[in-house]
Amino acid sequence: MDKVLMKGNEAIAQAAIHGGCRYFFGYPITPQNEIPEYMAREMPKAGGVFLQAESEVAAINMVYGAAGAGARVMTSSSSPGIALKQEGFSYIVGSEVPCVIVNIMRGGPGLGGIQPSQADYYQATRGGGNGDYNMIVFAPANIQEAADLTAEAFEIADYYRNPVMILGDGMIGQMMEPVLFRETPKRAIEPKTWATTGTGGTREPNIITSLHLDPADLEKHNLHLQQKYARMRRNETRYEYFEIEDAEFVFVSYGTASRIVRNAIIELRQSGIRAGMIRPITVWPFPQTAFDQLGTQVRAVMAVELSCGQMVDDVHIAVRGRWPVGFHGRSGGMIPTQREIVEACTALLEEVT
Amino acid sequence: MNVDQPRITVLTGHYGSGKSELSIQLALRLAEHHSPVALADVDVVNPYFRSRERRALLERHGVRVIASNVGFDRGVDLPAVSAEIYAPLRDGRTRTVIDSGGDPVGARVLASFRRMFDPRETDVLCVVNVARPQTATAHAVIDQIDAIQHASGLTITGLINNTHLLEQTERAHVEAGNDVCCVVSERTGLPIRYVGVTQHLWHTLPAGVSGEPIPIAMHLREAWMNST
Repeated sequence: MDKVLMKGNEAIAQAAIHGGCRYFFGYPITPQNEIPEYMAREMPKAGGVFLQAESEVAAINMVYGAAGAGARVMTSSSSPGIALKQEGFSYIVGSEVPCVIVNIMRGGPGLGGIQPSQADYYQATRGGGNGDYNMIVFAPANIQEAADLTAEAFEIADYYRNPVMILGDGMIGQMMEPVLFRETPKRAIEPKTWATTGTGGTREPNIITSLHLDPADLEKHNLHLQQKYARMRRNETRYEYFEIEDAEFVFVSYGTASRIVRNAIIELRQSGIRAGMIRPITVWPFPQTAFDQLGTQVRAVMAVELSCGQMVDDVHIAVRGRWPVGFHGRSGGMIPTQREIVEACTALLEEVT
Repeated sequence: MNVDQPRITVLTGHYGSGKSELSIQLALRLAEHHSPVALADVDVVNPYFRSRERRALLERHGVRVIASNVGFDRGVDLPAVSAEIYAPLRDGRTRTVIDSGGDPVGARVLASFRRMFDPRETDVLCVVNVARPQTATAHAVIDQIDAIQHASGLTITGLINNTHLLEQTERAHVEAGNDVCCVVSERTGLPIRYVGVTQHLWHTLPAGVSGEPIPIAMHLREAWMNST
């Protein structure tokens, strides 16, 4: 048997080890606890280190340290825990060291609840940390995709010397599906000559820092980072079209929400409404070009999210006023039904007719 | 379902092996022939996909659902079990399915009730899905059984071969599960009481697979969770 049955969290942890991760620092929080639990059990067997830190802030700074030493390293948390780690993200981006961060989102704001949510879209794509920073954010919609993207995330992080985030809602973490651990696409990664691995008395020390006190120097550093983000936008944007060819109504949805939208589209098409979907696989960079290839038959666009409306802002930016944009969302851990998505679509179509 | 089935059935096993789905299924089947029937969900480990989430369905079929004393069926991961569980255990007549949490850590809850179980009327079954990497071999399953017995203070009395990959299950998976369970059975003396079968395989189940077939109905999975 090649395929195994795994929870999303387990598959993400296994995929990380499969992708070369050998250091994991974390702090428990529902609904992502199976990741540290799995790492605690399996990482030592892979010759790596699992450490439960005393807090999220400690964990992300341990990640910063290990990444600076050139290790493949990961942390995971859920919404409020990720909020605590954001200072570290900014430092890690500023210092240009790679790592992988997993956010299995729960309902907010604040402690919120433990049921699935997508209300950390702003947090992931705009960043709660300071400064002009970005990172690639993958939003898997099933367990196989979560595993594949997690393993690949380590290659991409090393390639750009920048963190990569896996953004899954609680359902992606908790639900079970068959998964296969397969070959990860490899990148041409330069040797980590910048890492603080000890000089051996043969070179000047490497310094990992985000501090640039000279404003001209800091601006230069920022422009360099911007060039890197531009390359990510150009080369790393991913999305999936579903039934888009002749679509008059275009849903935009990611993660768990996109799975319900998919079933809603099948139902709508059975009743003669030609619906389709753009499913962002990266929510940063957001797939703006996916909208430029839409046909002239499109009458309306609608974002469907497990939030009160966050990605819909990016949809507006990408649509640039060409079509009416609607929104349907549920929050707090509530999951929309196929029926309510179908009804939201027909209501918007009536409105724009 | 066998009418001689002991009054109380406790489901244990690795987390993700299918205890909650089987608990719902067993309780619904019991309710077709018996009254009163109860399902006690004592899972304090798993935050999602717990049998109590199907309270409405179960109650509609006459099954009393016992879960947390805190009162929320979704959204709470507190280690709280309602004392109401003592009622069906003591009354000597309620057919009861007990859905424990996964792994030894989930089974530990059972230790607090262990003196209330009369071995003559209690079946303690270990659910086995060999498609779960942690219970892929007979050796791993036996380790799991030992650890669950140690944590719960209960003696496991039978096995359920619940090997599946959801909608992607093939006959070969059920057979591979049967092979592992047969080895476990041989080494431990435990009978294979049931075999869980996904609905699309119901009519093509091979002969020679041990256990009474019981359908895996996937009550806890919504239509959009279909993995094909």
